[in-house]
Amino acid sequence: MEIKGTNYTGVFLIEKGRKKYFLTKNLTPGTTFFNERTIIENNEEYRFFDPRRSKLCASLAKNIRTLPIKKNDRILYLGAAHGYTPSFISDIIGRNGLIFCIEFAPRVAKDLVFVCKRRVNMVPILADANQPELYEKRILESDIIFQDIAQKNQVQILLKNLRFLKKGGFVLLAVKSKSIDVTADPRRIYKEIELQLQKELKIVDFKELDPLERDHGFFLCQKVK
Amino acid sequence: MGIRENNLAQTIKDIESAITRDNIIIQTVHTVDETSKCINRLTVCLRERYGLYAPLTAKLREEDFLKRVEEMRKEEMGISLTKEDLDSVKQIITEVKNLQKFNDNQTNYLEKLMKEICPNLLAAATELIGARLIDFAGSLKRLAELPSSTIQVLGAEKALFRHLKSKANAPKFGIIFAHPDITSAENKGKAARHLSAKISLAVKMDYFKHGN
Repeated sequence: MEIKGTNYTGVFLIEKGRKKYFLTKNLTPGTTFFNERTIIENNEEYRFFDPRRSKLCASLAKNIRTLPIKKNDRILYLGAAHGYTPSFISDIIGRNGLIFCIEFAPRVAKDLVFVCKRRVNMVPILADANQPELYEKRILESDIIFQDIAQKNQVQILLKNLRFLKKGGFVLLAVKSKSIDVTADPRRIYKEIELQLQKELKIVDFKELDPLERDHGFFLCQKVK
Repeated sequence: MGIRENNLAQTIKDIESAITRDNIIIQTVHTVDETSKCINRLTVCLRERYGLYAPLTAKLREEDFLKRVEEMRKEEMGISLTKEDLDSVKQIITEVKNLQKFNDNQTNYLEKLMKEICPNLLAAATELIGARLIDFAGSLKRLAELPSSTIQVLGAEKALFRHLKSKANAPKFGIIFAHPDITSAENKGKAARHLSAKISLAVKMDYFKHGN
């Protein structure tokens, strides 16, 4: 198996026939937290990134135009859960990056803390992303905001948090259309969200994540104003 | 870098204070429900196994069956079993009885817990249903904030969303269906509506009485 680079910084690829596997370089070699497969080549350990567990990886599998996350970036991650996706972002940004993981549920935040303790660039915060004023003093201005929150007001939550984003920074937004309205057609909801986002941001790309994540969409936007 | 360590320490503190005593209720009711499932499955096994030997007793109802099963008497149509065969059947019987005792103890403990944390909910909904409601809502606080119409259909999400999506009828009850007041009522839908209203009142009293 040959490990190749991709157009996305920090993300690697193994091709097996028609199947593609995404990888990142493990920041904590020898330790994994989510039972993911690993592979060692040239003394470097790589972790397999599962597109069915992470919407970020699903968007890569769907050929999103660019992945704006770079080495040494500062990231605000809303809806970190157990820290699966954040751990891969932490691989990409490296030791000198910083990722603030906001999670509201204490039970999953427990698992998140275990991951964060071992990874020097991850910072857990138990807070409600709906109320940014409660944690604004605990975080720094970021290059990128990643949001994956299954709430009815997920777009409003993003807009509230935009003040932490640098000018020219990117937003990666995973949308679960079923939490906005179970009965509506997902395409219609994506359209509505697009209109809402356009007021504040420039939309770079949009991908539907079916069938990897059912009824989910992925927006890539830039803050130009 | 100080920001990481500060946040880490703060988050650990926050998580510690976020876990309250109603989490114990939720975990206990999980234990009780799982044990009940275990007991049911083992009893089915026992019935089949004992039915080879004594078909008549194996057809008895739950309590009678468990009383009679220890007699170990061969009946009509039953095949004869060796002592070793019977010993292994006896093992299942003791295990089932132990589990039942365990389950009773856990249920009593649950009742005690609820008497301490939410006495009104306990009175309105019985210990198992009350605890399951807390489990479905997530915490006592969340349950206290739910309207009674939601409490009524908690646990019937499948039917509720079917109703919202298509023209199917709305569900009348979720987990509160097992409440004795509803199973014995003639008009079950009406009883469910009343009961959920009372539960909603009770849990609000429990949660807000301490000035939360």
